[in-house]
Amino acid sequence: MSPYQKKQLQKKRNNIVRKWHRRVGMTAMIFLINLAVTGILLNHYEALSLHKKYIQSDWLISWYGVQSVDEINCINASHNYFCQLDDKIYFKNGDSISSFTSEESDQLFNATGKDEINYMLTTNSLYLFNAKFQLIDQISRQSIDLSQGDIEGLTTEEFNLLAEPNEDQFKLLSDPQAIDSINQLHKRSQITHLKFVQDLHSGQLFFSGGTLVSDLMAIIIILLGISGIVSWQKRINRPDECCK
Amino acid sequence: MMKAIYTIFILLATLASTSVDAKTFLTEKELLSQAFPEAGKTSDSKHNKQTLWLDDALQSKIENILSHPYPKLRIKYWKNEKKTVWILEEIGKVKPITFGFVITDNQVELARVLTFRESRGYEIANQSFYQQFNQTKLIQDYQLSKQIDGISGATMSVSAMKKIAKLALMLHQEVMK
Repeated sequence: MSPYQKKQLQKKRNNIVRKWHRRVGMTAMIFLINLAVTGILLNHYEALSLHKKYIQSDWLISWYGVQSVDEINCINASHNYFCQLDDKIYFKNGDSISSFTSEESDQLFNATGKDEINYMLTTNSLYLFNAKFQLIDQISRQSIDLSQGDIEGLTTEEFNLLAEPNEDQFKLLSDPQAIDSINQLHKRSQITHLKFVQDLHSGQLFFSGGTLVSDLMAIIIILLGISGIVSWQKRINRPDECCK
Repeated sequence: MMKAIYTIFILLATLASTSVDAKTFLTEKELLSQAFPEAGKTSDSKHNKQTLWLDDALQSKIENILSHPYPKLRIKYWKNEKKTVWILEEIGKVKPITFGFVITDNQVELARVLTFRESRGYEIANQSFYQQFNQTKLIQDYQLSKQIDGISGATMSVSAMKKIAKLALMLHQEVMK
């Protein structure tokens, strides 16, 4: 092979490398833009309150696999329904439904109403709500002293009745409209914007496939960096091409 | 390199999402016995347990401090001459942190974390950090009279404790009027 042929072959090889470097670079750019934008959002999530806002899109909620439930067990106390789904407790008063986030691992135990106060007993606490289901107070069950007599407006007998284990107080909610409303409220308080951005950043939004694609793109970016440096070095070493 | 950074990020994200059980550093009774050592064994009647109902005017002042209304309609507190004890909650990042504040003569006498439920930021439950709040007063615009140094990695917990210190001082002023 003559020196001219060698030079032509080398030039052809370089062109192929450059062409593929460009093509792969353009593809990786989409991934890099995603990384950069989501990275900025993650750096400032507190200021943007991403951890306090929830995804409202039904499509995204179903993408995450959040399912509606067909049956909801509730306690009926003084014409109010107390229903628990995960760590959320839902109150149904007529057509109005409101929610309350209980402490982790806290389970709804019983509920009753007296003198316009709704008492809700969970495994850990006694909660007091007004007629509009605004939280008046939360009293730890450990701090309740039955020897003191009156417990936040309940007599010792009334409190003992409330605290007595009785599986029968839970009944299936029969109103389909209420079940639907609770499901809607529940689903729209599951995925925070922060989780969505984290998953988009890591590729986990697309489950294990997304993570693998992210890994692959990360390797490609490393290769792009290397091929870019190699290509640049070759050009600056050539006296006929100036790339300063 | 990217993969290593990536793996670290995923590990951190996993750690951040791991649920950690609530840690109780001090109980209500222990706080009361520290606040009122002269009362001896804790009992509500000895410490004069009282209730403060949060009306709209008070909630508005609270909102100026916390940037949101207090989630309860009433607050229980203990009062003895010039001293009040407050057990208040504020969300750090996602979960509420329970704080105990003893206020005497419009100054913080004792600041403590009672229960910490977050997965990160527990460094605030440290004696050296608590001490920064001692003798702190409320100055104009609900600001603390002393600079409270932050803790790296516990920014939101520190912010929550500073807010609750301001709230306890403001509520003390309200009940002492």
